[in-house]
Amino acid sequence: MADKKKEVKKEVSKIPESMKHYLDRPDWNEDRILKYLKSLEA
Amino acid sequence: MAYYVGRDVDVYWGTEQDTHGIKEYGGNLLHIDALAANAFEADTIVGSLVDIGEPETLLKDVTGVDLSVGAQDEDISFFGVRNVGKIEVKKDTSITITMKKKDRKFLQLYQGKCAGTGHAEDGTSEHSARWGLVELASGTVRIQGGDIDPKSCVQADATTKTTYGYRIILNFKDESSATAGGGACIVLPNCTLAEVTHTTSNEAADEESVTFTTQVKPIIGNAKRTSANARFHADLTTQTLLTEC
Repeated sequence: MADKKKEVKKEVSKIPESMKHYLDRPDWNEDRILKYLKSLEA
Repeated sequence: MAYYVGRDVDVYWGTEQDTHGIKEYGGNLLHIDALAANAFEADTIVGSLVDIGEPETLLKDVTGVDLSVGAQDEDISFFGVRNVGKIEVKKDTSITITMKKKDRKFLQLYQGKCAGTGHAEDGTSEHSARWGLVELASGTVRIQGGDIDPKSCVQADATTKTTYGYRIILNFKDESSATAGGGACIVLPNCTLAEVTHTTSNEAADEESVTFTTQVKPIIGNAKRTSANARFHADLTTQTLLTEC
């Protein structure tokens, strides 16, 4: 359980400050933000 | 029809896609602008849906706003029945915003052309940007060419949400204090850029009038924001829901 918590924390920290407000929106979550950031790199 | 003087209302706008806007770039062509993790640039014409309410999304030097809220009805009468039935088919709302002309950005959207690969919907055509954005595959956001039916113009990872057109928020009254609500606004979702006209005058500033039309039901809101003078609350900037059928 502790490991899982750590993992989630690590992912959230990857989200840039400019995108953190997306977490307040009902249709966005960490996964979607990380997926979006990955699509920008491609 | 309601007419507002520019100083009485604030007009904000954005695309219907929550991460991308449109900018003018290289060779005066229309480019996709990835705004979610980046700041507005000088060349940004329109911001993303999420940004609406930020100072950059406010239309400046507005002199007048004409708002026309209506609906198209279908009349049904039956033989032997005295009353004619009126069935509402769709909403029919349009807004004309008159501004002092400062740049060519609206003209660019209306009759300019997109860059090809990576920006235009089909990668080659040089269409304008009257119909907003479309997400062809996850993360592949392109400027719509007007050949996709609005109900098929959807978010790739959520096919019940449409990305068609632009969203206008007409803010009548600011909220009394930050995040408290208590303001008043009308939200016009999924607007098509219908008309851009320019008036040249030798005794006043040159003006441009921009008309947006939509058949989607407007939303009346309390102009709630996420903080003072910041973006509007997610309830006012959430994409229009469609059904899968």
